[in-house]
Amino acid sequence: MTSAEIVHELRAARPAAPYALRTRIEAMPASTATPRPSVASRFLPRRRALLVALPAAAALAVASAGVIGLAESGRNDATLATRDTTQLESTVAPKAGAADAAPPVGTTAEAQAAPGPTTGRAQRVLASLTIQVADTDALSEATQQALQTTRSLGGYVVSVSYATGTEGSAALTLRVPTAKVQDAITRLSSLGTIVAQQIQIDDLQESIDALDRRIANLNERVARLTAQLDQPGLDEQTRLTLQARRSAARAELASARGDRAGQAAEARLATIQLAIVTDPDTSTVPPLPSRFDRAVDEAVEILAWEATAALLVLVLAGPFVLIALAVWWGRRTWQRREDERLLGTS
Amino acid sequence: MTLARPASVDNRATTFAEAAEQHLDDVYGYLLYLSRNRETAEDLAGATFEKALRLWSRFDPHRGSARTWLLGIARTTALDWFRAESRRRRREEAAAVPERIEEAFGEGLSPALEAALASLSAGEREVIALRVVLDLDGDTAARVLGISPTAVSTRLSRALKRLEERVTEHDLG
Repeated sequence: MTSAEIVHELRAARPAAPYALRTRIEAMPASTATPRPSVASRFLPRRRALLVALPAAAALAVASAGVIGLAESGRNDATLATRDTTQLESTVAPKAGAADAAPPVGTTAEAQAAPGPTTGRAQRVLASLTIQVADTDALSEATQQALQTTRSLGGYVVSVSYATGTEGSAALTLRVPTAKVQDAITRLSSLGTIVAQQIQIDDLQESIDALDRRIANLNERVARLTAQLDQPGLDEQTRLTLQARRSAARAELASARGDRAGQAAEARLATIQLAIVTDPDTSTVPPLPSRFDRAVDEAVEILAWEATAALLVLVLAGPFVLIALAVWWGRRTWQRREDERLLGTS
Repeated sequence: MTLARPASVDNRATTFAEAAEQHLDDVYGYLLYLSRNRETAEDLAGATFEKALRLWSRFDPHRGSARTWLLGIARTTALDWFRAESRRRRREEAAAVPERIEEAFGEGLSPALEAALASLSAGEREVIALRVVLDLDGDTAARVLGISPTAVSTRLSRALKRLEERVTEHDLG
């Protein structure tokens, strides 16, 4: 007898439940319960659901991160607008210690209205100006323009110190005609943003007037002594005394004239101490990110948080889950072997 | 409730009565092949359907047919019986030689095939009952047995080969 014949015979002699069993089953009370499969199992078998659960959880995590990132990036618009304003204000704000001596800074040069010397009076003008530019390229250009401005106003450059690196700076000492100092300050201020400004004006007119009077007195004195020396009949001792007095008066006159000339020169040219610096804040502030970039950043941040939380849960619960799985698997394997042994020996 | 043997297998049962009516013969036949005893098979079938009645609300048609579900319960019930029988046999072996009752597996089987079937283990008869007699496909049989379809195929092949050898031996002897 072949296997096919055996199969045919077995199927032909398929056992049928005896009548007594049918009656017994028939006598069982009819169940009013209806199968109520779970919603999840209606769509997915349990194993497939497990396979789908992980990618679904990952997709949900990414989607939620994206949605929250978009929402947060929109909310941050207002914050960034505030940041823009703050940044601008910090750029133009005067540095500490400069406000007392300086007019308001950070505005246009015309609005500064720096005090100027009084016309017709000899005055010593000392201006100190700190200009801020964006970067070292602007620093070089501003320095060149400051030199040109000085020369064009009829002044000259006393000294220049120029240094560049991560931050650049230039220090210039300029002399310009006092009559044009206001024009100079206005033009120099336009080279960048004014960080600090100080103008000191000392009136030299009284001092010059005093020197003029002293010079006149000394002139008169020299003339008087000269007239006395020209008189005949002076004895040798008197002549020597008068000559000494005239020499002293002449020396004093020369000194007074020198002083007067020096003060007049000081009043003729104003000194401007110009410092040009780069702005470390503005030069290092990165460009504001777009909303898309902010959304991506937020999403990545949330994803990182989710990953951290998942990792934490995995680390804490992982050992217990593994133990439970091992126990479950071992018990199932043992049960199956027992069943096989039982069926193999029966 | 009238129970009649269905002409063909219908897995669209929506009530317990319909499921019991459609699959009573399958459950009984499977248990008969496992236990080799008609009375035992009847008792186990009755216990199976009582258990199934209690669990009917938990039956999920999306995870398998009613026949697979009922056969799974039948197998669990039979294994419990085998365990109890094994314990009982061990107790009796100490006192006397155990009684061995062998009965026909079905109407119309040749004596050679009956004897050959009786010489197989319960595990071998089980796979023959599921795959040959009840004509379950490999996946369904694997689900009932809790093993892979490949293992079912291997087990069936060995069982049929052994059955063929035993029938041949019986014919020759």
